[in-house]
Amino acid sequence: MINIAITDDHPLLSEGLKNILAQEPDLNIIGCYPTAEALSEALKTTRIDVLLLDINLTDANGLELIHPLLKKYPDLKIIILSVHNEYAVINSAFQEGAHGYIQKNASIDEILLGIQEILTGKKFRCKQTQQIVDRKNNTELKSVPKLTRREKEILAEAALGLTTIQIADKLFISPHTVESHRKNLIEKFKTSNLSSAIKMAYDYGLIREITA
Amino acid sequence: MNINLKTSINWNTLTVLFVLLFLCLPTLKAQDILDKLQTEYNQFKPTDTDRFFATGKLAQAMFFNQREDEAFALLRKELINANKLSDPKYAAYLNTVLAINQLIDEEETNSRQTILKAKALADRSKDIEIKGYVYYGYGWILAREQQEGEAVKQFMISLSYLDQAKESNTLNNRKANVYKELTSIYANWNEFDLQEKYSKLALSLAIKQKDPMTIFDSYMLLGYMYEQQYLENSNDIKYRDLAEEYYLKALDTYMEQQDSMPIPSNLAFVANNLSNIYFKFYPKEYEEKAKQYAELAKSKGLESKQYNLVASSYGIMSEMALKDGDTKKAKEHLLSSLIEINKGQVQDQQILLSIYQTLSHISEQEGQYQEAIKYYKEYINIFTSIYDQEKLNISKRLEAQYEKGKQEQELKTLQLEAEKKEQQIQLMAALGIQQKQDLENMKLIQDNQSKELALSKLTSEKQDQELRMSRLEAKNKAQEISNYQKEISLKDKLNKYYIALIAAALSLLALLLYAYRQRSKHMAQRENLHNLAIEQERQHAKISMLTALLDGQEQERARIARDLHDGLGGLLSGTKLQLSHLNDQSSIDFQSKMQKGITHLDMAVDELRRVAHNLTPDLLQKFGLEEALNDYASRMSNEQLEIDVQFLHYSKTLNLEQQLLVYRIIQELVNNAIKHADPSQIIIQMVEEDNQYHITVEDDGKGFDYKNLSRNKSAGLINIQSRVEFLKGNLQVQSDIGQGSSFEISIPKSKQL
Repeated sequence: MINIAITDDHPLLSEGLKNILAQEPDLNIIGCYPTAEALSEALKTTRIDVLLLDINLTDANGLELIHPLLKKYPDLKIIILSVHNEYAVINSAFQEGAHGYIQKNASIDEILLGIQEILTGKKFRCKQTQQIVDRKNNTELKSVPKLTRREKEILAEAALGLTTIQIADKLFISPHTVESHRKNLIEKFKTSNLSSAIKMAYDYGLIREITA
Repeated sequence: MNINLKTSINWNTLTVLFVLLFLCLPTLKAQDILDKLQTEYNQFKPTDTDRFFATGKLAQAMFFNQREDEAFALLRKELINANKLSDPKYAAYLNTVLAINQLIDEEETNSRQTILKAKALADRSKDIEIKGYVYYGYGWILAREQQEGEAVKQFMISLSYLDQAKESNTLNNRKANVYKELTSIYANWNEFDLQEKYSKLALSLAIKQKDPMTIFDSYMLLGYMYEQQYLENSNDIKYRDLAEEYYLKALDTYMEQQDSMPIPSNLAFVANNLSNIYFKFYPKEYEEKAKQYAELAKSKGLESKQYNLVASSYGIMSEMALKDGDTKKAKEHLLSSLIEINKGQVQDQQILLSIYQTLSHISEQEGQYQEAIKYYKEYINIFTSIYDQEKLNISKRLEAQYEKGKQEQELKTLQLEAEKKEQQIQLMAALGIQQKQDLENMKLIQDNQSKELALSKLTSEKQDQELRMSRLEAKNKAQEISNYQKEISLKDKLNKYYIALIAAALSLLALLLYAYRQRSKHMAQRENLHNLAIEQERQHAKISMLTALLDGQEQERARIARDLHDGLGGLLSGTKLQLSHLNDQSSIDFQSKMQKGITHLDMAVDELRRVAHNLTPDLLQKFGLEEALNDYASRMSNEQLEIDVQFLHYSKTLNLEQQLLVYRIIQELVNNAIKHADPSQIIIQMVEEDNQYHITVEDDGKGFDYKNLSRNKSAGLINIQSRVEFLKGNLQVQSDIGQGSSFEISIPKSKQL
C-alpha cells in the first residue's frame, strides 16, 4: 500500500481528490491537511510515501517547504499540485527537489500516472507543464539574436568601417551611446569583439553590406 | 644513506686568487722588479724628463715592499723638480702617484688635496695620456672612498682621454686598469651587462698585450662572472656554458704557456672551478670530468703548496662522495681537507666554514652528536668572525647603490635645470629682439615727431606773417569787423545753450526709458519665478497624488488577483475534478455533453489566470522583473506574434516598486502595440548602463503619426509618460506610418524613490 497525503487549503479540492483516490485499490489516503503546520504534525507520527502539495497555503509557501521536508524525510516523494503555470515557478519547484508537478486542472488519470511514475524514481510533469517547459527550451534555442532598429543601424555603419565617433556624428547620438550599443551587440551575438558580431549579422542577413 | 645539505656550500675560490696574487707576487718577483726599476731610474740624467715616469713606477714598487717612507721621500724630491718645469704634466703625474700612495697609507685628507692639485695641473696640460692617468687616479681614490658613482664619472673622463692617446704598452696597461676598476664597480651594482662589457674589453686588451698571465686572469674573471650570473638565473644554461667556456680557455692559456706562468697554483685554481661547475651544474655524465679536475687541482695544489686550493678540491670530492651516499669517504675527504688547509699560513674562511658545516652534518647523521656539536661550534666561531666583515661589505654595497641612485637623480636635475635655463635664454633672446624693435620704433616716432615739429614751426611762421599782413589790411575795417564779431559771438553762445539743453533732455529721456525697461524686466522675472514655483508645486502634488494612486491601485489589484487565483481557481479546479470523476461513471450519451461543460471549466480557469496575471505580476516579487517579463511575453506570444525579451548586463538592482513601475510601463506599451499596430514581432530590451537603465520596446506593426495623435489615443501614452516621469526618466518615441514604433526609455540610476 502506498500512503498518500494531500496538503491544500481548499476543502472542495482536497476532499474531492481524496474520495476519488480512495477508490484505487493500492492507495491508502492518510489524510488531507489544510496547512503546513497540520502536515508537519502528521508527519511526526505517520509514514507518508507521496505528498500532493499545493503552493499557495495560508501559513506557508509550498515551494519553500519542499527542501526542508526532503531533508527531514529523505524517502518522501513530493508532487506539486498547483494552479501556477509559469515556467519560473515550475523550474523553481524542481530545483527545490520536487519529484513531480501537476496542474490542478489536470485529469485524475494524470495524477494517478504521476504517482506511479515518481515511485519508480522518475521525475513527472503533466502534459500542460511539459508543454510550458518545452516552449521555454525552444525559445532559448533560437540562435539568431533579435536586434532593435538602432542596433541594426549601428551595426550597419560599423560594418562599413566607421569608427565610434563617426557613427555618433552620422546618427546624431553621443559616442557614449554608440559605445553602449557596441557592448550590447557583442553580448547579444555572444562574441568577443564587434567584427565577429558583424560577420555573424551578415551571415544571418541582418545587414547587407560589409567592407572586409 | 643520502645526506642533503640545505645550506649552500661554496668550494669556489675566487677570493683565494686575489689573496694569492697579493701574497705571492711580491715575494716571488718583487725584489727583482724593484732592482730593475731602481737601475732604470738611475740611468736617467736629472734633466731628462722621462725620469719622472721612472720615479712614479719606482715609488709605487717601493710602497708595495713596505718601504713607504723611502717612496714618499723620493716623490717629494722629484715633485720639487717637476714643479720647476713649464709643462705641468710631470707634476700632475707625480701628484697622482703620491695621492694614491697617501690613500693607501690612510692619509685621506692629504690624498684628496694632492689629487685635486694633480687634476688642476692636468687640466692645464695638453698631454692627453697624462690627463687620462690623472682622472683614473681620481676615480681610483673616489672608488675607495665609497663614492662609486662619482668614481665612474671620472673613469669615463679618463677613458675618453686614453682612447684618443697614442697606443703603447703603458697606455694599454692604463686602459686595462680603468676597465678592471669599472668591472668591479659594476659587479657591486649588479649591472651585469656593463660588467660583461668591461670584462671583455679588458680581455681583448690582455690578448693584444700578449701577456699570458693577464689573459689567464681575464678568462678566469669572465668565467667567474658567468658562473655567478648562472647562480642567479639558473634557468638560463647559456651562462653556465659561458662559464665553462672561459674556464676552459683559461686552462688552455695556462697549458700553452706553462713555462711563462709565474704562479703554478693557478692551474689548481682553474681546475677547482671547473670541477665545481661540472659537479654542481651539469648532468650526471659530467661527474667523471668533475672528478678528474678535482684530482688535478689536488695534485697541482700540493705541488705549489697552495693548501687552500687542496682543501677546496677535497671539499668537492667529499661532496661527490656524499652524493653517492658514501658518508665514510666524504668524512675522510673532509678531514684531509681540514689537515691541508691548516698547513697554509692563511686559511680561506669560507672553505673552513664549509668543512665544519659538512662535518657537523655528517656526524649528526651518523648519530655522533658530541662530535657534531664540536664541529658546529667551530663553524659558529668562524661564522661570527666573518659575519662582521660581510656586514661591512653589505653596507658598503648598499651605500654604493644609493650613491648610484643619487647620481642619476642629480643628473636628471641637472638636465632639467639646463633645459630650464635654455628656455630662459631663449626667452631673454626673444625679449631682446622685441626691445630692439621697440627702440627702433621709438626712434622712428621721434624722427617723425621732430619732422612734424619743424613743419608746424614753418606753418606757424607763415601764419604769423599772414596774420601781420591781414592786420595791416584789416586795420581800417576793424570797427566794422568788431561789430560783426560781437553779433556772431552772441549767436554762438545762444547756439551752445540750445545744444546743451537738447542733449540734457535727450539723456533724461534715455534714462527714464532704461529705468522703465529694467523695472518691467524685473517684474517679468519675478512673475516667471513665481509661475515656476507654482508649476513645481503642482508637479509635486501631481507626483504624490500619482504615487498614492498607483500604490492604492496596485494593492487593490494584488488583492483581487490573489482572491481570483487562489480562491476561485481552486474552486473551479475542484469542481472540474469531481465532475470528471462523476462523468466516468455515467452513461456514454451523457458523457459527451458533460465533457463540453468540463472543457468550459478549463477555459474558465485559463481566463481566470490571464485576468489575475494582468492584474498583478506575482512572479515579480519572487523571481524578479526578468522572469515576470519572460512569463508575460510567453503568455502574450502566439503563432502570429513573437515577443522577445532581452536583459543585458542587468544586475537586479532595481527595487520592487521600481520593477513594478517598469513592468507596468512595458505591459502598457505591449498591450497598445497589440491593440493598435498588429505587429508580428515585439522586442523588449532592458540594458543596465553605468548611470542609467535603458529600456526599448519596439514593434514592427503599422506605426502611427506621433505628432498628430488623437486625444483619445494619446491618453494611454500620457499614462506611460507619467509613470516614466515618476521614475525621473525620459521617454522617446520614434514612429512612422508603416515603419513600426520604437519606444526608448532611460531611467537614471541611484535615485531612490
